Amino acid sequence: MRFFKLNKEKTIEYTDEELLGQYRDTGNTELFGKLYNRYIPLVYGLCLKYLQDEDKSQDAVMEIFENLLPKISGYEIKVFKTWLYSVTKNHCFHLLKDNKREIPVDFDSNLMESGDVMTLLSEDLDDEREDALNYCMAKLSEPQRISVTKFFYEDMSYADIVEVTGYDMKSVKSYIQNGKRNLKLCIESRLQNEIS
Amino acid sequence: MKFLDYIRGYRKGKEAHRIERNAMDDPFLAEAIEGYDSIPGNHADRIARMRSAITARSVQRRQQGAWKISIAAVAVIVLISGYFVLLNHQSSMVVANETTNGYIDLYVPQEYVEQKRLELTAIQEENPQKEVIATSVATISNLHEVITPIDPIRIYVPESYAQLRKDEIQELSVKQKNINNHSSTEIISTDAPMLASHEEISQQDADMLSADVQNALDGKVAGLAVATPAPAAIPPAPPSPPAAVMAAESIAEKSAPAARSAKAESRASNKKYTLEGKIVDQNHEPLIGVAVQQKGTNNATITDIDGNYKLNVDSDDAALTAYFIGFEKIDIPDPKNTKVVAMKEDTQQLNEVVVTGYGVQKKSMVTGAISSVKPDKKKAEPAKIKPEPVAGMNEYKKYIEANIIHPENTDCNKTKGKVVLQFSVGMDGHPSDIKVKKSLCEPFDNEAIRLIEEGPKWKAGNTTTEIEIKF
Repeated sequence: MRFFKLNKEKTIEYTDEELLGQYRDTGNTELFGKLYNRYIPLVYGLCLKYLQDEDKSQDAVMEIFENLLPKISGYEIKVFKTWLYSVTKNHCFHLLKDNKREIPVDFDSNLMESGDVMTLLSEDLDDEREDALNYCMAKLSEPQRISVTKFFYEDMSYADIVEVTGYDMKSVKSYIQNGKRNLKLCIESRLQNEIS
Repeated sequence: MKFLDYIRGYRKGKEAHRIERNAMDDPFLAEAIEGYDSIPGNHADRIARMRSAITARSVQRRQQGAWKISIAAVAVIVLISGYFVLLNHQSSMVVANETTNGYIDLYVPQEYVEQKRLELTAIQEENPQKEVIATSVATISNLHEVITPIDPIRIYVPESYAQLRKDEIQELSVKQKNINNHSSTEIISTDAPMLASHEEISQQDADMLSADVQNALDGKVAGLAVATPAPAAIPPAPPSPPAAVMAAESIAEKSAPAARSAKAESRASNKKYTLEGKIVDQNHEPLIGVAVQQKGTNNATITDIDGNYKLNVDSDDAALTAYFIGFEKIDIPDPKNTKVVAMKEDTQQLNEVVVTGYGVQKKSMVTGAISSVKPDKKKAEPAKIKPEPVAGMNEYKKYIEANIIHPENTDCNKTKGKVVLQFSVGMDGHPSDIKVKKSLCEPFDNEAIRLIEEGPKWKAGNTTTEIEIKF
């Protein structure tokens, strides 16, 4: 038993890319199995979103594994996670096309745009930026300001905020999303104005 | 796993917040969360099951690799040892054969029997220890009862050889008279004509032929069973030896090149007259392979590639008849002086078979222009012609797209797919016998039919064609 424990600990240490490299070198399929297992929750969830069916999604998870096992040694993969993300998405799109179902288009992409806002909200800032931030925060509508503050400064989850504020889940998410966007726009223009 | 908890529905607290926070940067995570939020179910369970399945699979795979090698190794070993076993087995098989006491019946000429018996007896006398079964060679006295071929085997040989053999056999039969009456060969000589065309086989070829035949026959009478009457049946040789040939009727029908290989010839014959002529059809095209026979005899020949025949006959007033399949037989009038004879096609042969494609159709069943194929007439049979639109398929498709009317207000309004119609096109260019091969639903089918009925013309063909109409 100890031996197994040791073994487990060893593999937990390795990063995705390390495991991948080891698999490539040794061909030991167990290694790839371990790596893939880390990502099953993500792969499965993603498939659920597109395929909207538990069984189909489960099949897809297994299929992707079977497909990748022989091929993966041949690919140049820098970041396994993002690569697996594309592979899974493509697989699901493929399945959807075959069934001639509609492919849900992702409108949440603007979530990702406001990365710079995120840094603003999380780090210590210089005076300039901090001023701009404070100014713009004040300019937000109340629900947006509250939601943003609670989420980013009080480390509350959506469910927490729902509980505390009484807003429903969808609204909370939308306040935070819009709040972020507004902050971004406001801060940018503010900073530009300040420069000029 | 914290994410698993989140999936399970634990959405409160700092850990949950962290996950949500990460989801803002991580599209993979974000979309996965969306997936779990949109479909209810025991996801954690499924995940666990998938994980163990993957683990099991990956372990198995590794083992499989090893398995494969070991199986391959075992297979090689089996093959090699199997080879050796076989080798041993074969040699032991040979030994076995040598010790069986089977009897094989061999039919041999009489003189050989005697010879062998003498031989074996001699051996036994020399080596009393050696076990020799002298009685292993027996004469079958009732050979003709054992083997009675219905037809004696006929060998067509040049006349010179026939003569040789006759002499030999005569000598033999004198010797054998006391032993056995049943083994002489019968040589039948007739006043038969040559089998082949009027072209003569050169002396060289004849020699070669006789040599071949001789070789074939030499020492190989064993196995050749003959049932015959007594030697006295051999007719005495006439002063000018006739050809030793029995002409079978079927030979006369063979075409000129084939007849050459029949290896028979009559060079010196007592046929004094040569009748020649040419046989043609109603269009004056030469007919090859027409059988021209002297009436009342087996004397026949066939026309060559130019339709010419040449037949040696023995009497001045020989009558000739010409036969050819598909044509009415004709008596050649005044053969001595007639040069060209035309034969008439025989229209009554409706049951002649015509092969089209994979099947066989009776001529009477086929509609369309098909003529029977004769070796001389090199008419190609019409290939299967598929109808196509006069303006071309591209243009036709454009017409369809432009004119297709999607039936509204029907139950199958929303169906998508294609209707496949099968139809023929006659000389009028209009699709007919329209059948729905693949249906979608009635209104669509009807629309498809309407389109092709009202559409541009088609070139006629002799088979059906199909068209797909997409809705």
